[in-house]
Parts: sequence; structure tokens; C-alpha cells
Amino acid sequence: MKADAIRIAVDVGGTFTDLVAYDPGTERLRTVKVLTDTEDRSRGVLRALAQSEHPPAEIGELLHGTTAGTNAVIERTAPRTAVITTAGFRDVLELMRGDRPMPVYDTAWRKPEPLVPRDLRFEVAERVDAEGGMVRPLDEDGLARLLRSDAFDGVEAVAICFLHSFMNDAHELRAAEIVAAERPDVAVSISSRVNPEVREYERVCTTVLDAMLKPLMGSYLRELEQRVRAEDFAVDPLVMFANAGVAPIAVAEDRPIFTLHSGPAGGVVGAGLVGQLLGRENLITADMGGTSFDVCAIVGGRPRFRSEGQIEWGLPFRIPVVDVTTIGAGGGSEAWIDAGGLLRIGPSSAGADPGPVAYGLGGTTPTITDAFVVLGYLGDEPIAGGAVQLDREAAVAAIEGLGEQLGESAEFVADAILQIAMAGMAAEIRKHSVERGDDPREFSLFSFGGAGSMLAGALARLLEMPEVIVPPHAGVFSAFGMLGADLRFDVQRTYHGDVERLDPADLERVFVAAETEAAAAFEGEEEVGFRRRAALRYVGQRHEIEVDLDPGEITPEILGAARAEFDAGHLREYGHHRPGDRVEIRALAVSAVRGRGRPALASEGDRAPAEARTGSREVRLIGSAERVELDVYDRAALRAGAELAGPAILSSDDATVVVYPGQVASVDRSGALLLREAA
Amino acid sequence: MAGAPELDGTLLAVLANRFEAIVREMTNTLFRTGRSAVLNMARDFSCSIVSADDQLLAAAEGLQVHVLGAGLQTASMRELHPDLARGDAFLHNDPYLGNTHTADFTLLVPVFHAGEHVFTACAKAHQADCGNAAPSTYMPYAADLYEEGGLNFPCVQIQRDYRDIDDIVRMCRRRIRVADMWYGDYLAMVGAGRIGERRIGETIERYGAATIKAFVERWLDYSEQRAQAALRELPTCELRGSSPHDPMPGHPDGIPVQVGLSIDGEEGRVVVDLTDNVDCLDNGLNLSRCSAMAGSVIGIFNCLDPDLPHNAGSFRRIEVRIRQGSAIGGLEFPHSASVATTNLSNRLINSVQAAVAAVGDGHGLAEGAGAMGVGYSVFSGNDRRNGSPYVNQMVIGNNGGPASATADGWVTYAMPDCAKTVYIDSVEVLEQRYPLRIRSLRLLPDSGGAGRHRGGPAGEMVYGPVADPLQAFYFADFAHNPPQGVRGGAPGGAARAAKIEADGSAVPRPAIGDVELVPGEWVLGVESGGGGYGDPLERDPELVLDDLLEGWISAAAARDVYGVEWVGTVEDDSLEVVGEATKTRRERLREGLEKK
Repeated sequence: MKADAIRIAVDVGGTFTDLVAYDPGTERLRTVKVLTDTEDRSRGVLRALAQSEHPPAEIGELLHGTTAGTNAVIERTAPRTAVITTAGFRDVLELMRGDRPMPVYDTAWRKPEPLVPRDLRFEVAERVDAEGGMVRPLDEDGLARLLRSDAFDGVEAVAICFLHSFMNDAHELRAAEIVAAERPDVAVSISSRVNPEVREYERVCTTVLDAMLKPLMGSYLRELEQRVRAEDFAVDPLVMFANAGVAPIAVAEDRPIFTLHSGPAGGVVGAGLVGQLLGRENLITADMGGTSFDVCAIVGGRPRFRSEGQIEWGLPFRIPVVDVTTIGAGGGSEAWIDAGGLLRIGPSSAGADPGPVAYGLGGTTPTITDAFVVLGYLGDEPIAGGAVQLDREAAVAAIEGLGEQLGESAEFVADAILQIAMAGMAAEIRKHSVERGDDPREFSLFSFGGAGSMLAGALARLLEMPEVIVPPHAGVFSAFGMLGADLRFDVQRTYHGDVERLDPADLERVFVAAETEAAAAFEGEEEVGFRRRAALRYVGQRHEIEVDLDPGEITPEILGAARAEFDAGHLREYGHHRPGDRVEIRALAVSAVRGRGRPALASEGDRAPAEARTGSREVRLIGSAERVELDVYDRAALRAGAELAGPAILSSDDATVVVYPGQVASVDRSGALLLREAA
Repeated sequence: MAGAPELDGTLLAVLANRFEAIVREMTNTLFRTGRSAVLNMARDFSCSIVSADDQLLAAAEGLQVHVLGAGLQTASMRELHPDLARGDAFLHNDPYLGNTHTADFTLLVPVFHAGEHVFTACAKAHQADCGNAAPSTYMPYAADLYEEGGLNFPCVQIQRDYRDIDDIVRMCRRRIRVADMWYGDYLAMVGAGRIGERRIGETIERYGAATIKAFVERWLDYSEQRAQAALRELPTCELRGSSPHDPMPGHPDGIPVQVGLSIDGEEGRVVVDLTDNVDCLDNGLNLSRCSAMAGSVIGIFNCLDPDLPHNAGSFRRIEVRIRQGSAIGGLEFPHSASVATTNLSNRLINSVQAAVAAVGDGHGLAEGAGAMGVGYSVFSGNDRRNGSPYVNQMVIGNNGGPASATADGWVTYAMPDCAKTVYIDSVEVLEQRYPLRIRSLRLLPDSGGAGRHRGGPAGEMVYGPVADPLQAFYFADFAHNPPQGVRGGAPGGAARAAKIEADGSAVPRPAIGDVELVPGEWVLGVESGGGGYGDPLERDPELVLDDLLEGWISAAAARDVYGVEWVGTVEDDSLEVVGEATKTRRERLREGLEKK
């Protein structure tokens, strides 16, 4: 790729397709937002590309993220998928982990439907023991008969998951061959390849999801590739993964599980990028959209990961994912009054359809967005890039309805809605950080998403966080983030050994094999680097802490350092540790990573604050009893270095930022806004 | 007090959220750092925060039977230790002083502000071993506390100035069979208690002690109003319920559990009368006061809006009457309450929730299954791989949940007293850790009680040793008296056990008992299915065919019990209801029933 070639990222969401085109020569971004073509998503991508007005020959890179697979799985519209498993165990998917979410007294609660219904879960005689020894041979004829039977008609994908296959994959490999011979059109995933780790429920879920996504993502991605070629783009598209990396289309087709829940990854990578431009290594990202509030930590410049995601409660998939946690507090979260006369927010949400009352699209229940409108945070100008015109009177009437029940004014109730919602957000940030041993006071709050930056200043104050960062281009931020993603592929392995007693050479062999597999994802790519991690715990514990291993061949010294890091992590997270106790390794992970050029950003404004003022608005700020007149500024027009004392509103067409009294906002040369308490 | 500080509904909600978050943080600490499988896999523990005057304030995610009696334990702490100080911690497992049963160790951490005791942070955890006479934490046959043989700590000080009192730790380490594991679990409990202490302190610093005091009062009052409003939706009536425990040695006719409910729909109050029950038994099944109160309250809460706050405020609307000396809550020393959290406790909960169903359609619940059979057995033997003996309880059984007026019973439910807040073990992990093999683990057709809403199905499992002999103990109630349906719903499937001999023949065994196996022999166990709710002939025929397609019911049951006629086959997924024929068949079945 030429150094000055245009880099493009396209994020295909459920409602909008966002595109950013980055010109490294000028450090400027051009953005495009179009409605997602839900009939034909790749056609929508090509349409957005056409609107970017860059000729294909200028484009040196095309990145692509999509939630299509995730949505199909959540909405259960994915292709008909079957499971083939060890005789005696077809109900593993039904039993799940056995537990349930709260509240415990909800006896009408229903478990999520298993990923595959019982009539599509088939048993085959075979058995391998816990050491990998063959106990009962695979019944090849029985499997072939099953595959030829009517029951298999209409099946588009199959997951093969036998007990202990991560210790001995022979039966799974042979079963996959038989499926290929009997049903050549059926996509196959085997658990010993997709997720070779102990615990059958998690492994079968992961394998089923991989299989299910194959027909779906495969056809979509092939189509996209063909269309891109037909338009004379001289680039191979890269696909966004949930591990915060990107990978070639062929890898995504082969292992589509990695695209699941890739949605939040772009924004988290983008936060890391902007943090780097600002010299900030520790960030807590807060993304408040229409239905949810997502939190993730970036520590030492790297997003935090966890080794398992879930598509909804009880349905896990074991791949490394950026460690985002979510609560149902978005702009659309509904306010209501319970039987004890207490105001409550959520968990039900009006989402984007029917949406808040103020949207005038049929919503009748007041929401957090309506509270913003009533208090004046949102004015008369349209929001969401001009897509929505707000109806203030309707919002006031709806919240007055709650006020009548409580004997309070609409403004009082609107303020209470924001305070309760903010308490929930603060609790989530606190929980997210303290559970991982972090102190939020040592982090900058990185705020993006349509609704979040109106409260970010107050939220940071509540949590005693020193600073708020609001990036530019907040409305297409996930697409922007993709520009900074590394090429990355992950391999996880089960491994069991006492840190002090295991044979370093044996561990080294397992790591090298995993690295070879991971590197194969980038065939032809040079400069692939590896990161090794190990999941450690005290003997007898069930929960591991993952630590990074120092680079180089495994030695007792490297293991000793890992153990010390584990002890320190245990003390940090849980308040105690036992350096004298035995520690064991339970799992290994390898990331193959190849860095890519990271975009810089330049502020595009050129005006002093006085010149960027566009008017004023009366706002009743959260927690105060009366309205004050706030100056409103055009955020995009402010030049780098500009400073503004609160209270003030900085407005742009995709996000509104509120600077609270006693706080100062400054514009960085990247265009990011920084909010701090005045000295 | 010089006028309560200002505390509006907003701050009330904010602080309630804050205290629940603290309990969740305590819970997370204990879960992730505990050493024994019973903590870190089965999650058999709970955390809570109790006010200085012994009112349960917050218990996010706690096991119901564990947390509801926390106030009884803090009351005994204040009485026995009037000189409480910052840095203290107390170990409490005494069922005569408010604990559930001996195997649940509770760590009580009094929290101070400005020299005043303001809250107590509590962490209660079922121990892997509690020093009982036999290597099991459940001693159903123990005639009294002496035969249980476990360590009893009647609220004993175990920390002073944030340091262990080593005498107590040494006693535990000497007597408890898995000393290192125990100490790891103990540290996890201390970690949870101290995190609770720290976070409560931060919250008081931030909002002020007077505001927090006012919050406690207001929050409990609010919770009481919620419970009152919920109970006012019920009519004033007198109800009776009973659910007899299966026969066991010494009790050939089983053990009856009787409850009377007086619902006052005008006042929004309910009395649960447990006085009409047998005297304390000479075995380990007696219910401690804590277990009996918890069981009563769980049964009521299961029938009310689940969004109610579950704390001392909402308990005020539920009065539990207990007769001193009775097996149901009137525990007298030295009678044993070793299995007070399961057997009679499950029967008590079922009696209450099924009695409420008599109020009318839409109310109450069927009985939930709660067999502690082969899928929950304590298994032991020698592991030749490391030459050492092993003993553990597996948690892999599946009891079916009760059907309600709005939903079918859950597929996995565990038992009424914890209603599925515990995890099940992984087959692969069990086989890695122990020299045993699990041959199958499945759900059984026709095991969920039929009804307009169907009870959850029962699980069946088969396991045996791979190298050396293995012994298994199990104690399955619900074999003779399976979980009953309500309002026309049928009972769930009964628990059972069998030994599969080397020649493949299955020989039935008592569901309460034990078995010794050599390689080639297997034990088969079936837990029980949940009761159904409402007349099966009123079940949506489409749901009946879904059940048939997925194998939850047999074709015979679909026709004869549910009265559905269809065309098509399961094999090619072509089932379709024949409406007219179904209507006719259902009418004939109804008439047939009337004739009976």
C-alpha cells in the first residue's frame, strides 16, 4: 500500500452504514452515513463507497465491520444448524451451566432457548476418556445413516462436538470427513479446532455459533469481495474481529466466530488511538447509545480482554473479546413508577422504534432522552446527524404524566430520571473497575455515543475521575476505530500444569504449535509478532487470572515472573494473595499480531470561542434546582488550543457535550475535547 | 435525632443501588477466590448487609435460604459480644443461634463509623467439610448434634484488629479434613467481608452518617409498602398446605409438613402458621429457626411480584408462627439440623406456594422438584493416579421446576430452596479430576407434570468407576411423594435409583441409600420432575406438538393426557394440529374424567 493512499473503514450497523475515509497526507477524515441496505448489505457498502467520492485507484485499504452475523444469532434467524455429539449427551446444550440470572424469585422466568433445538441434536456412538484414550470407536455407519435420513434434510450447518475431543480429535476429524462425503453442501465446524478447551457446554456453544455463521458470513463476504473486485478496487478487504483486530476475508470465512460481537471493538480501538494521540494510557470508555451503556477499560494503552463473550445471558462463546460490559441504560430506557411510588428507569427500552416520545415516532413512555429534552440539554436543532427533529411539548407532557403520580413538576421528575440513570452508570463503571482491581480515579473517562457526553462531565465528577475525553467524529466512531486495528488472530489451548513442576520444554512446544496455527491466518504477511498469555490460579480455585508472559523461550525464570504477576494481580483484584501456595496453569493463549499504520487526526476548526458561539439555551443542569442560560458553541468550528469555561454547551450534528460549572473544556490538536475541573 | 436529613426518592433509589452493588462486589470476591468446588463451581454461598439493629438490608444474588435469616445471626453477635470493635470478625455456624445448619459457616464483620457499630457485612458459605463424624456435610441419620460431630461455633471471635485469632484457625485446621482448602475458603470469606466493610465506609463518608441512617429506615419502609401492596392483591382467606417428605429409616410413613396461611387482603399481611407440626426428630432433618422462616418467606415471595425488594422491610408483612420444640423451626438443643437447608425446607416451600394456588387461577405455583439423588451424590474412593483417597459431592442432577400460571417449569431447577442459583458441574472436568466415567446425562420424556403449563423434566444420569471401587451416597426425597401439580396439573416424575450390573441388568435400589461399585458396574439415578399448573386439556395444542417434536413428551401423552390429534411425523418435522379432532378428543376426555 502506498503511504499516501486513502484508507477507508465501513461499519455496517443494524440501522446505519457508517464510512470514514482517512487521508494520511492531510490527516483529515471524510465521513458518510447512509441507511443500511438490509436487503443486500454488500450493495449498501458499495453505495457508501461511491458516496465517499474517492476513485477506487486512490484507495489503499478497505476495512469492514458488520453486525449481521451477531444480529442473526440473537434474533434466531441464523441458518438451520444441527449438533452431532457423543451418545448420551445430547442435552448438554439444554442444561447450560444450570444457573440463572436474578431476580431469584421470578418463577415465571424462562431460560434462553438453546442455540439448537432438541430435535436437531443428534447422538453418535463413540467415546474418548479424559486422558484422550479411545473407549469406544466411532460408529461410522450409524453416522452415515443419520446423515442420509430425513431428519438431516434442510440442515445448512453442523457442529461436531465429542467429549474430551481436545485431548484426541480423531473421531471429530473422521466425522467431519463423513459429513463432507454424505452432505457436501453442509458447513461443518469441529470443536477440537474451533475451541480445544475443557468444559463441554462452553465448547459446544462456541462450535455451534461458528458453524451457524459459516453459511451466513461466507456468502456475504464472498459477495462483497466479488463486488469490490468488479469495481476495480485494488485492495483485499479486511474484516473487523471481536478481538479488536482485523483479518483477511478468507480467515473470517473459515472462522466466523471471531466476527461475533465485533460491534463494540471498533469504538474501543478508536479510544485507544485517541488516547495515544493525547498521551493517555488509562481510559475507561463509556458508550451511551439508544438502548445500552457500554463500559470497557484500556490499561497501559491496551484494551482489556476476557477469554469468553456471551450473545445473551447463558449463551457463551470462548474466544478473546474486548472486555465490554453493558447495562440497559441508553437514551431510550423507559421511566416508570413502581407499586411503592418510587421512580424507576429501565430495563425496558423504547430503543429506536418507537423511540423516545420526543422523536414523535409513536413512543408514548417517557425515556432518558425525553428527560434531556425537558431540561433543555437538547434544544430545537435536529439530532442524529439531522435525522430526528425533537418534539419538546410531547416530551414535557409525557413526563408531566409521571409528575402527577409523584406530586412533582415535570422538571423535577426529569432531573430525578437523569440522577437515577447516572447512579446506575456510575455503579457500572465502579463495578467494572473494582472487580478488575482498577481505581476509576486513575482513569480518564472516554465518552462517545449519541447521548453520553451530556452527562459525562457530571459522571466523572461523581466518580472523582480527573478528566473526560470526547473524541471527534463521535457519530461514526466505531468505523474510525477500525483504522487503528492491528491484524490479529488468536489461538487458545487447554493446558494443565503446576508452574513449579511442569517441563518448560513441553510448554514451549505447545506454544510454538499454537503460534504456527495463529500465523497461518496471515499467510504471506510479514512481521507477525506473537504475544503469549497463560491463565493461572491457585490449586483448587476455579477462576483464573490471565497474565502476559515475557517474550522468549519458556524458562523457569519466565514462569517465575508469570507467577509473581499472578500473585500481584490476585492481591490487586481480591485484596489477598498467597505467594507460598502452589499455582497451576489451566489455559494458554497466543495472539499473532501485525501492526498497521495508525491514523493521526487534526482539528479542523479555526475559530476562537467567541467566534464559534452560535447562541444560548436555558438548561436545568442535573442536580440543580433552576435553569441557567448557557452559551452554545459550534464544536467543530473551535480551533485547537481553544479553552472554554463552563457552564457551556458544545454542539455538533452527532453529539452534544455539556461543560458543567467549575469545569473547563479545551480543544486538542487532534480535535478531541478535554473536560477537567478548573484549577 | 435532630430532624431526619433530607432524603428524596431519587437519593433513596441511588443508595439502594449502591448497597446492592456492594453486596455484588462481596459476592464476586468470594466466588472468584474460593478454593472448594462447592464455592467456586456450585456457588453455594451468599453475602448480605445487615443494619446495626439486625435488619437485613441488601442481599443481591444471595441464596434465598441463606440470607433471609442473617438478622438472627447478627442479633446473637450483639448479645454475646457487647464490646464489638472495629477490626473484629466472628465465625458463626450455630443452628440454635440463627444459622441455617452446621455446614454453613458465616463470617460476620461489624462495620463501624465514628466509633459506632452501623452495619454488619455477612458472608455465609457451605463448607467442603465441617469436621462431621463422617466425611459428608449432610448427616441425615445423625440422632443429634453429637452424632453429627461437626465443629460448632456459637458466634466465636476469629479476628481482632484485622488479624486472625490463631487458636480458632488452628482448631479448624486440625478438625476439618481438607485444611488447606478450608483456609483458602476462609480467606475468601474474610476478603468478601472486608471489601463490604470498606465500601460501606466509603458510602457513609460520601453521604454522611445521618443520611445513611435515614436511608435505611426509608428503604425498609418503602420495601414494606411494596410487600403490602402486593399482598393486597390477594383476597382475605384461610388456606392450608402440606407436602410430606418420603419415608426414611425410623419414619416408615414419611414426615408430614403442614402449613396454615391466613391472608389478610385488606391489611396486606400474611401469617404462615407452622405450629401444627411434629416434634423435633431424632435425625438430621429438623429445620432450624432460620431455615423455617426462610422457607416460609420464599414460598410467599415466589407468589408475589419478583421486583419486590427482599429485605427486612418486606418481611414485616409476613409473620411466621413457630412452635418451640417442633421439627419445623422450633429446633431444640441438641437435636440435629444437619440437612436443614434441603429436605424439609423444600417441602415447606412447596407447601406454601402450592397452597397459594388455591386462591384462584393466576395465583401460586406447583411444587418444585428437589431430589438430592444420584446426580447430587457424595462419592468416594481411592485414586490410583496419585495414590490418595478422594471424596466430593457432585452437582450435576437435574430437578424440574414448578409450572406457574404464566410459564412452564425450568429445565434445570436444582431445588426449591435455591431455585437454580447454583452451577452444574462439567462432565469433562469431573472425569479429569476423579477416576469415574459418566455414561449419560439426559432429560427424560413425560417426566414433567402435565398441565396447561408443564412442569420441568427430570434428569437421568449414569456413572461408575474406571479403575478402583467407588462408593456413592445419595438421599433422594420425592421418590414416594413426587412434586404435586396444582389447579388440575399432574405430579412430576418420581425420583429413583438403580444399580446396573456388569451384565447390563438394572436392579432398582432405594432412592435414599448408597451403593458400592466396581469397574463395569454403574449407578443410575433419576431426579424428579416439576408439578404441572392447570388442566392439561387446556394446553395450547401447538405447544403440545412442540413438546412432542423435541421429545419432552411421548406420542401417547400427547393423545391421552393432552388430548391432541395431529397429522405428520416427528422424523420429518411435519407435525400439524388437527383442530376439530382435538376439540372432540378433549371433550371426550373431559367427560371421561367426570365419570370418574
